[in-house]
Formats: sequence, structure tokens, C-alpha cells
Amino acid sequence: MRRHRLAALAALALAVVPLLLVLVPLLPAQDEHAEASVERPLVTATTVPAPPTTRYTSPPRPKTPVLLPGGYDGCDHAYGERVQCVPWTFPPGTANGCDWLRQHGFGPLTVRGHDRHGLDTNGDGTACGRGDR
Amino acid sequence: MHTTKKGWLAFGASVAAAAMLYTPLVLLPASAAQNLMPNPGFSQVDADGKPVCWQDYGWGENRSDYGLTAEKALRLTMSERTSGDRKVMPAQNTDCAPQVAAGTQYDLSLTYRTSTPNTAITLFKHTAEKGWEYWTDLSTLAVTGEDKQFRVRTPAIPAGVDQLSWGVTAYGDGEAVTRDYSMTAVLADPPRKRCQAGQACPKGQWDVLPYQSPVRGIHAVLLHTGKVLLIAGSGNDPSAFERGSFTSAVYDPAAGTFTSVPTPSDLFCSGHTQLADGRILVMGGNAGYPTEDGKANYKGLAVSYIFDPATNSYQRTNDLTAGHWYPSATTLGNGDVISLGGLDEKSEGSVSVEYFSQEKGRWLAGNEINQTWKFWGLYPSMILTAEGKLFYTGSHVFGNGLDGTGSSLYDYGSGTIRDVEGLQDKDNRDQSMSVLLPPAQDQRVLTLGGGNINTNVAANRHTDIIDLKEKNPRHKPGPQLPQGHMTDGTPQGHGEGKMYLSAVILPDGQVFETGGGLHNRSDPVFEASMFDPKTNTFTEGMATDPVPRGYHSSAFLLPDGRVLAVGNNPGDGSFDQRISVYSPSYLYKGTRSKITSVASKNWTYGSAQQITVDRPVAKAVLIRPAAVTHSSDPNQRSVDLPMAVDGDRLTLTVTANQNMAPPGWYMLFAVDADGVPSVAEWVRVGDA
Ligand SMILES: [Cu+2]
Repeated sequence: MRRHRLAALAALALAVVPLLLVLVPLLPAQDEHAEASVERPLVTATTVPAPPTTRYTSPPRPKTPVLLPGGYDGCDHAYGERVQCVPWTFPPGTANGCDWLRQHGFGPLTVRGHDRHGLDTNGDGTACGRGDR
Repeated sequence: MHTTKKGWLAFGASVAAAAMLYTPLVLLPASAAQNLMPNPGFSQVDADGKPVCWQDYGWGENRSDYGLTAEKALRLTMSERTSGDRKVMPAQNTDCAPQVAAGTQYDLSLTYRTSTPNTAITLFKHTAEKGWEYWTDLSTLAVTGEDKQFRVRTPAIPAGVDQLSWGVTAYGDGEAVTRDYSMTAVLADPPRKRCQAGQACPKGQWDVLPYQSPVRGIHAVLLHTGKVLLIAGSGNDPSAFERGSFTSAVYDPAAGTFTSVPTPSDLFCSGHTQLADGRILVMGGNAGYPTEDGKANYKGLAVSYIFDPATNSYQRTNDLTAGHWYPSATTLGNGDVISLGGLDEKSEGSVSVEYFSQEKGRWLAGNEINQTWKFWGLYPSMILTAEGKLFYTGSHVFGNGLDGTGSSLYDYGSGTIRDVEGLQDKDNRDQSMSVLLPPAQDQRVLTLGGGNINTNVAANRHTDIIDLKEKNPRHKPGPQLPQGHMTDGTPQGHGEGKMYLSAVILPDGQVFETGGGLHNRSDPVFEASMFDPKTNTFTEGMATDPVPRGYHSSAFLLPDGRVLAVGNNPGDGSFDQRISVYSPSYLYKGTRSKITSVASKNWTYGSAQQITVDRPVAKAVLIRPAAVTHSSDPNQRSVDLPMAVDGDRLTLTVTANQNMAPPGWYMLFAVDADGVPSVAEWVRVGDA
């Protein structure tokens, strides 16, 4: 039983050694990729400092807020159901917003705010409805 | 088949060409050209002389009728109309209306003549949830006294829709006569022979699973149990938000089962990362949807939770110092976490640096944090470098990139931020994806594609490669992203690339690039390729996911070497809950090697680790499990393990640099000389 296993191991080793000979030139990257190849000393550190315990003296928080424009998520929420996303800007070259919307699975859309895109041409409160062309 | 498809597209331009195009159709397999309309020739007629399985619907004040002509065409008449319409279409019931598959497009055609311009092709859809409802009008029919053919292609059928009914609507006085109704499924790809185990399959193979995710897979985290945490929160559904209905589920890909997880806050568009002990730190989320008047934007939550795979539950931690909707999360070499960016509780840009201390087990208070007050944008891709800095790759979400070069190196300790040059077209890298190329030791980052949801330009083909080992690293243009085709089979146009794409490190050292779309939440692109970091080239033409994967989609590696893809949330508000799985070509190359033993599951830095394998292998790697959303997983990395071989025993050297492999659970793969990986074993890298 044991001899059998040793024989198997020997066979495996025989198989591996030539394979390694072939592979070694292909895989030298192992060491070179590794930290040793990076010549800057920082990289050889084996530990990273513990979390800071000192209190930082950060600069004061700027007073001006970072304000973001309407349609920041790319959607004009003035149209349709709240899950829907009528593009804030139609893709360049779009000739007719309603055609684009129909081709992308949108039906008529209730106008819930400002009709920025002018999709409710007959002013009945429904954009891309039957009277809108 | 492909010629036929091109022919079909050309058809739109020329009605006269149409008749000729029917000829190649005959060559199609029966299933492809099968007419799905019931009783299409009106040969079956009921006692009243009306066609069986067809019915009229309508409303308003008008006089209208329908019936069959002597030539068995359908005549629809309307007079004295002051309001409303009348339409005739397959009866809206289970037996008559055609069955459809979500995600598929259909070609509709008929022969018609009409005396009124007030006609339209009207579509109704059926869902289990809402029954039958109006879907859309696809086109009007021009007045003609002679029979004409009309053909139109539907948009992709939305998720959840199982039946479709369509026909001609009249909403003006006159008469429309129609016949030869046809509806056929558009097959984007010719049916391909499935790859068989043991036979070569150079493109790999996708399978769409027979079940769907019960939750919207907006966030996906691979747990060290091999299961997947899928987080939806309110799932980009304002009504779920108003009901306080927030969801998550733990998915077991091996068993195909889902365990729902009570979700205490709206974790929709939160940040997440793996902690050193395998628990998942989740921060921020959604405190409010935008208003219809456009005055209010999304608002960020300041809450944070730790998800524990042992109990499948979220435990609340202390709050962040500010709200964050779309924050980044990067695990550092010491196991701490830095989170940046997003929108705060007032819908303003969140400028607070958030720092989670592993040792303290909490988020640090404002005065414990080295604040820089910089607005980092949404989901900024912040990759930990070998030196412990955060590299902002330029990948982000929503609109333009940051000011300056759009990419930088941030040193938290010193509070310094230095711009990095060379990123192409930085304002059009919205929902691009960046990946630390394998092996992590090479310290090279690839940034792929991107667009801009605000200008809505077509997504681009840029790739950028940067070598962070250089003294003054700068992005350099890489090869252009390969091109694919659109839903209807049209090839992509000049310069058109992808946003919303996924890049997944595979154990064989390649990066699989899949999914994505062309415009803001629309126009999915079917393209997949392999990027080889050794040659900086793409191998084009990998098998493509049959499911569109745009906004709110993700793809990530499983421990068995396959790639899982979830999510898609197009602008029509639907969400695709199908799951697909990609089996790379390496799974069709015969018997895989196997890791037969791992001496220790706890691997310390700089240590030598013993494992045994059942056959010769060429290398071993550690891959950090995914925590991905919005094309963003800055923690994704594959770490090489230099090895010594003694028969079936391998001695693997663990990196001594904690920044190279931040503490946590990793998938250990042994990979043979043909690039065939074993199934992964899980090991925990960290302190003793
Ligand atoms: Cu989102």
C-alpha cells in the first residue's frame, strides 16, 4: 500500500520536474513581480501601521456646499412613473423624443412637472400620447 | 441567418425590397420563423362571422365595427368619432394572445390599406402582477388605397411580461383593412451548438439559469461560504421605498436557493467591502428619491451595518459622520476601511472622509479622521496601492469626471492628493470599470470604456493602462475595447464602445470583460472579450451573455471558476432578475487539478504555506472575493503566490506586504500549465 503510494509520488515527481523545467523560464515573473522587484523600500514593509490614535488637525470644512445640477442621475423625473427614467438628454442625433421613447419601451407619460423636452405637444398633460407627434 | 438579419434591417428603408426578403426566411429553422399570431389567416370563424381568437377593444364616443371581408381580411371601420378608439387584436386571454419571452424583440408585420391617417400599431402586455395593460403604440400607418406591407420591430420585452397582444387601432373616421398578421421572435444570435464537456469551447459558454433572483441584484458580494449576498434595498423603486420595503437575499449558487435577509435600511446604492474576518461592511444608502419637480435629488444615509455570513443578518454599527449615497469602500492593508464620495443627507456632494477602524470596531468620529473635504464624486474607484495609497482611477458614476486630470493618488496619512496624468477623455468615463490587473504584484491598472449619462454621448472604446510602480505613474492608452452588436443584431458603429461593463479577474490570469450598454440606461451591447495582461491585448469574440447587462448589473467570479452575472435596470423602470453564468474555455479542457489539502486556513504575511494537489500545476493565486456594484469593485485583486514544488506538495509564499493582499478571506486557486484552474479553497490572510 505504502510502496504503491511512493511509486505514484515518484511518477508524479517525474512528470512535474520536466514540466517545471519548461515552466520556470515562463514563470520567472513570480519573483520579479513580487515585492523584490519593486525597488522602493516602502513596499517591503511587512506591516501596515495600526489605525491612527492621534487626533488629526484637519483643515476647516469649506463653507460652500458641493451643489449638483438637476437631472444628476441622467433622468428627467418630470415624466412618467417614478421608476421610469426619461433621459435628461436624448442621445445625440435623436430626431424625435417620443419615437425614441416608444422604441425603448415607454408608453404615454404623465407630465408631472416642467415639460423640458416638449413631448406633450397638445398640452393634455400626457407626453407622447396619441395627439403628440 | 446573419445575412437575413441584415436584410431585415435594410428593409425599413425600402418597402419594395421586402418581398424578396421572405425567401431566405424559409431557410430558417422552424422555431425562428414561427408565426406566433393566433388564427393568422382568419381561416377559423365563429358563428357571428368573426375570426376566432380575435377581439375588439375600445372606448369613447364613436361608431365602430369590425368583421371579415370576402377575401378574409379584417375590416375595421369608424365614423362619427368625437373621442376614443377601436382596436382589433388577439383576444387578451391565456389561449389566444402570443406568449413572449422577456428581453426578446419581435418582428410584427401585416398587409394593410387605410383611408384614415389616424391608425396606429398598438401593443398590450400581460404580467402576472398587473394582468393586461396598454404598453405602447409603435407606429402609425400612412393612408393608402393599395395593399401595402408594414413591418416593425418591438423593443425588448420588459422583465415580467409573458404575453403580448397587438393590432391596428383606429382613432379617426375611416376604414382600415388588414391581413397577413405575423409575429416572429428576433434571434440576436443564430442558435449555437452547446459546448460539451471535454470538447474545446474557445469562446466559453453562457447559461441563463432556470430561476430568477427574488431580489434586484444591484449589489453582489461573494461570501467566504461560497454564497452570494445580493442587496437591493428599495431596488430603485420609489414605491418600495415609501412602503419601507427593503430587500436582500443570500443566494447559494450550488443549491440554487435564496434565503431572504431582513434589511433594516434602504441599502440601495450603499457601499460595501469585505472585512478581515469575512464579515461585510456596508455603509450609506438611500435616504430619499428625487422629486418630480426636479428640485430635490437623491439623499444619502449615514447608517452602516456589518453583514455576518454566519447568521445571515445585518448588525448596525455607529453612523458615518455624514450621509453617503454611492460611496466607495476600500479595505486597507491593516484591515481598516476608507469610504469616500456620494451624495449626503442634503443631496449635496458628500465631502467627508469616512474611516472604519478594525481595531476599534467602529467608524471614527469626525475629529479622529484626517479630513481633506474633497468631493470625490459617486462610486469613485479607489484602488489600494502597494504603498498604501488610494489610486483614484477615474472610473466613477454619473456624468463628468473630477476636475484636473480626472485621476489621482491620495495619501490618507498625509492628506495629500496628487493628480495623475494621461487618462483619456476623463469626462466620458462614467460607469467605466477599472481593475487592478493580475497579478497584484505588477501594480498595473486597466480602465475600460465609459460614457456620460448627462450628455448621453455614445459610450466609448477607450482603455487606459497605468503602471503604479513607475516613479511618476501615468495612464497610457491601451487597445480599443472590442465591438459587439446591439439587441437587434446591428453591429456597433464607429467609435462606439460600452459603459456599465464588467471586468472580472479569472484564475488563469486573464480578465474577462462582459456586458454593458451604449447610452444612459438604454441600448445594451452584446460583446465579451478576454484581456491578457501579459500582452496588453484583447481576444475578441467571447460568448456573450444572452441577457442584457446595463445599469445596475454586475459580473463576478465564483469559487468554481465560473462567472456569475446579475441585474439590469433600463430606463423604462423594469429590472431584469435573471441570473446568467459564464463557463470560460478553461472549463472545457479536460480534468481539472484539485487542491487535495491545505495545511492551514490562516495565512500570515510573509509565511510559507503547504498545500497538496492531485496533479502538476503551474501556479497558485489568491483572488479576493467580489463586493461589486455599478461596475465598481476596487478591492478586486489576484495575488500571485511564488511556489516551490516537491512532488504533489507545494510550498506557497504569502506576500509580506499587507497592502498587496489586504487581510481577509481569499479564494486559493491552483492553475495548471494549460490555464485550467482548480476549484478554489478558501483561506484567510491576516494576522495570526
Ligand atoms: Cu445606482
